[in-house]
Amino acid sequence: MTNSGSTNAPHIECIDLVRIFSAEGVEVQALQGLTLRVEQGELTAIVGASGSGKSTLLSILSGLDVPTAGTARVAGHDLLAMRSRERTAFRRHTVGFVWQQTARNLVPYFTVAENLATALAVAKRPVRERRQRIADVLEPLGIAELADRLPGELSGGQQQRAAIAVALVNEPEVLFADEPTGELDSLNSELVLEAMRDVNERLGVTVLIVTHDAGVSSHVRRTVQIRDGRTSTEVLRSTRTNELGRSVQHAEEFAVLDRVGRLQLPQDYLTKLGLKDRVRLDLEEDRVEVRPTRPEPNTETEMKEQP
Amino acid sequence: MSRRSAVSDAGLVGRHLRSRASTSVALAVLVGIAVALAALLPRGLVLLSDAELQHALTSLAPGFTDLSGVGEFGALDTTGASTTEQLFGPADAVLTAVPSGLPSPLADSLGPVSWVAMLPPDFVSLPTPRVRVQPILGLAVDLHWQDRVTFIAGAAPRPWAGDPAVPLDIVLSQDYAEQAGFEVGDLIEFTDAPLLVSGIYSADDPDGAYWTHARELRSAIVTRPPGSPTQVRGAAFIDPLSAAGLPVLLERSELRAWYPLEADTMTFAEIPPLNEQLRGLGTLGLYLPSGEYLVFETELPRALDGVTTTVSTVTAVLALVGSAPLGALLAVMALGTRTVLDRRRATLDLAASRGASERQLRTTMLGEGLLIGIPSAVAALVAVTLLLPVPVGPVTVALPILLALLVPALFVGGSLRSAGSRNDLGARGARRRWILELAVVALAALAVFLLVRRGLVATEGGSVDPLLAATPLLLSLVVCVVVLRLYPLPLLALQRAARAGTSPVGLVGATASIRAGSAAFGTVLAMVVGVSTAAFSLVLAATLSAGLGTAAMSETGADIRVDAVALDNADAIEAIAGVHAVAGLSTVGGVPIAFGQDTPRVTVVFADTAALHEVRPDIPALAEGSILVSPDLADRAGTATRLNGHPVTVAGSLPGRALPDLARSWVLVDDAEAVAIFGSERAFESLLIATEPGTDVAATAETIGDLVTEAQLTSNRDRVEVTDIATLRQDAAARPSIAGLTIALVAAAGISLLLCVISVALGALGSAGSRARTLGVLRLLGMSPTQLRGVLAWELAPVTVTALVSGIGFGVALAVAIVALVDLRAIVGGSAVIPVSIPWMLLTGAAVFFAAVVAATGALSSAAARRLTAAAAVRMGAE
Repeated sequence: MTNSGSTNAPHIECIDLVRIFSAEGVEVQALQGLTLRVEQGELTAIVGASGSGKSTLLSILSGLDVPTAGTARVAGHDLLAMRSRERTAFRRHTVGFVWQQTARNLVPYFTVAENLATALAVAKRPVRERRQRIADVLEPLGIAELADRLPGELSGGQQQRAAIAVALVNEPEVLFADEPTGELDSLNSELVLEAMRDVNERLGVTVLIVTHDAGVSSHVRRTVQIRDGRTSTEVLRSTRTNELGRSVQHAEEFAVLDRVGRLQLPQDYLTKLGLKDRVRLDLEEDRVEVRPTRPEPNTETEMKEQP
Repeated sequence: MSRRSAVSDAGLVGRHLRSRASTSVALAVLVGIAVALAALLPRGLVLLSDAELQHALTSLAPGFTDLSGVGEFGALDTTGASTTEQLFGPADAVLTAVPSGLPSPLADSLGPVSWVAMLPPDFVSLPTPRVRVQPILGLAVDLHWQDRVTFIAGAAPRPWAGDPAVPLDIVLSQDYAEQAGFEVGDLIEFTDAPLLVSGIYSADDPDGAYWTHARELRSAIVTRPPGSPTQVRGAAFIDPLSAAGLPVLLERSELRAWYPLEADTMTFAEIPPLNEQLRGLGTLGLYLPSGEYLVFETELPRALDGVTTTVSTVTAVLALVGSAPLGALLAVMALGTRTVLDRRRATLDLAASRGASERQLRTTMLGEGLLIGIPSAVAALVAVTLLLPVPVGPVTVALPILLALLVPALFVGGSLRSAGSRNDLGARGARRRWILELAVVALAALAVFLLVRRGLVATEGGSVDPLLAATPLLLSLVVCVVVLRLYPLPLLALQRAARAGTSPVGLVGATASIRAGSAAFGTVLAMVVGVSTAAFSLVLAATLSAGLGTAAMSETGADIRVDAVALDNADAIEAIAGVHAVAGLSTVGGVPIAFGQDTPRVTVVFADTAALHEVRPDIPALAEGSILVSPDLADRAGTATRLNGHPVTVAGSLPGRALPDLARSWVLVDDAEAVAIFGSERAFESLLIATEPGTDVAATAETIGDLVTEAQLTSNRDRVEVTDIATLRQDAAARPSIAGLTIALVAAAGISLLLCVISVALGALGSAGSRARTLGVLRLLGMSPTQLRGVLAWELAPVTVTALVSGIGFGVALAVAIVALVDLRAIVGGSAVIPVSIPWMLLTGAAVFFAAVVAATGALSSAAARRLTAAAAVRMGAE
């Protein structure tokens, strides 16, 4: 069922992912050929503005939505080819997720323990194992004493940690989080993100966090920026030891090149150099140069007529 | 770890079901009501049919429905018979055993036999008659005669041994003894032996069935043959043992045996087999031990056919009326189910995203559906069965079961997707809607086609016909489909108009109504069905009520009608308070009227036509020498003709049923012409009386009856008959079929309107969340409370107005069609065709009331939305 053990296959892989919604004749292209690779055990953040397609991407990756075109694989499951039986098993055992709103994470009239028990019941775990499993999950998240509280009786941060517990209770290989800190203050955000990092490091679970909060990226090694339904840049963060022997955080930003050679230039580059419509590309020894064209009044009209 | 939290599957499901149980309980109550109604209707129909049967049979003259057999008594072995038992025992045993040899249910419906042997009558006389009449007397043998009479004079007859020299004792009825001039002790000349009047009796129960079968034993039958003395015909009881001395007469005697029909145990369901058995018995007859043959006859089949026709029509109308509220109930149940499902959907979504398979989700929903549907349905069914322990057929059991299973089915079959989720590519939804709508239209067309081919009223009656019940429902579905397709059009126009205007209320409201579109289908269906049923019921109830008046009028001809031997007190009656006008009528049959060579005989009605015009403004006053004719004569008559040889002019014609109790061909003449045409004045036999508006017609009729009776000769007093439309209407309205139908119609109207209100409340409840969000946003945008109320009004107003207009239109149209297609005379009786009467005032009142109730319901259910703070509402919107 899973081939996550093979060395060269990424744990999460999206190639040219397209998702189009239609409502009353209007089509909205949420994903426009997105490409993404995440290795097993990675902790990755996907950052993008509202409407950039990040939530759509997460819905597809967690098996709740189906892409219109492209390839999407998670832990060896081909998300486009999955039948309903495999999809159910995928949701039960392969992925867990945490959404921004409590209402999408926890059943309001179930206690925390019952919410976890529901996930266990859905996965048909034997009843006698359930209490122990619930305790095992809640303990490291620091909310063991809240097991019998209803979600409404918890703070925002506690609710999100309870949601992480529900997501983890069936021992998934991948954990998805959609704006997990969206409604939290900075202290609680900190706690939730730390809990996720802990899960990633302690359990080796691949974690993918989607957020519009650029601050999240300081908690993860890799941040992928998406814009207009495509990945545009990536920031890789590493800890290096400097000449004084101290460890310092080092961040490096890359643009993402897709399979057919397209890339997105950052907006501030475009503005600064006045890059618009047409640019000049020059191949040098070790790089490609992108330069603005100088408009010449005579030729401009001519060129418009000759596309 | 946790004592409060459940972790087992059952514990979790139990917690899930217990949460937010109020809507589920409400839905369960709705299921209970639906099942109770579905179970009540057929049971009520059975009770109604039985009650109508009982009423019809008990209102007939006593003895009318008895199974009676007539034949010759036949030869009897009289030798050595010294007791009645020896003489008549064998014949009595055979007659007593007849029912046990008949099939059920006929055998169970027959009471014990009564029989009398009537020996051939003969002329008799006293040596010196006291009165100038010709008595004719027959002797009668009845083993139980002494139980039926009381002696006024004399004593019981002694047995007679057959010696012609010894007088044969007889007892006479008081009436016969008076009319024939016989007294106790009289010795009457008779062929076989002199008859000695040993006693005179009076019947114990003169109106009882016995005396209708042996009338001549109760009273004399007096006839006055022209040119001969008055004949007084009667019969006398003899001691049964005396018959042994009259073997020849006994052999030739007429045996009358009858079995009373025990109507109180008879049920409507038994009518078809009973009718078949009775008709079979009528053709087969029965052999007696004497070898003689008994021919059976009964008027019962005719009476039963009448009841069947009435009940069939009532059943048809009830099926039409009852199915529509059931449809509204279904729509409301579907709405309720949707509300419960919407409340569960978030949890189901969550479970699905955690990997719950569709089967797990649907099993949980099925469990909840069963919990909602089954216990309440069973409780309702048990309650109805205990309340009305009436056996019903399998079809009628099926409907409550189907209703009980509807909620679980909707739960299992309901969409698992959230309403708010985004749609995929393609317009599959729109295509599916078209296909569904076409299917509904096609089904309705098929139902109407089948119904028209078969006829509206099924012949057997007494049980609900599924086709008839389904048709109005399908038609109202078609109306809904059309309404939902058309009603955006005026809204779009309003929206365009609102765009041009300055007020945002109209624009927001119209747009919201257009967007709601088919989501409001449940509410629209419930409202259209509800309003149309109410309109249909009200029109039908008004038509029935008017029909009762028409039927009563066709029987009396005026508000009050008096019949007597001779009536000459019209002036005195006109003086009674409340009497508007009085017209006298007398009829003469067999009068020749000349149409060229042809001189058919007609009935002539003499009337004071000026007074008749006052009583009946539809009949004109007649000038001297002019007549009015019945429609069949109108075609043949020229203008001038001769009535009984007297020249008259035909002034026109009247409808055939213009005057009550008239044969086919009749002529109306002013009574001033009576002398000219017949040579003598005619005494009025009938009076038609009109009363002033607002008069108590029944009380006035009673006063008139007393006055007329007092003025009559003593011997004619029992022939005074007074009928009035108020009493006739009252009697008719009290008949089970009409009373039941009226109650059903009013109940249907009430229940339908109630269901409409529930559907509005449910609809408002279902959209509470989105409404609160919309209002929150609008309030943030700066709308005033008045403007917000305007937006809320827009939510309900278009649907309500549409439902009222299309519902009343459809309901009235259906009622008009039904009145045209179903002969309501089968229910109300009478001979005049019942025209549809539309109570516009009542309909308008009901519409206004309905609109007010909807507005109040909408306002109440929106109050909660308004209580939310704007911030909370908008926050909700984010979730």
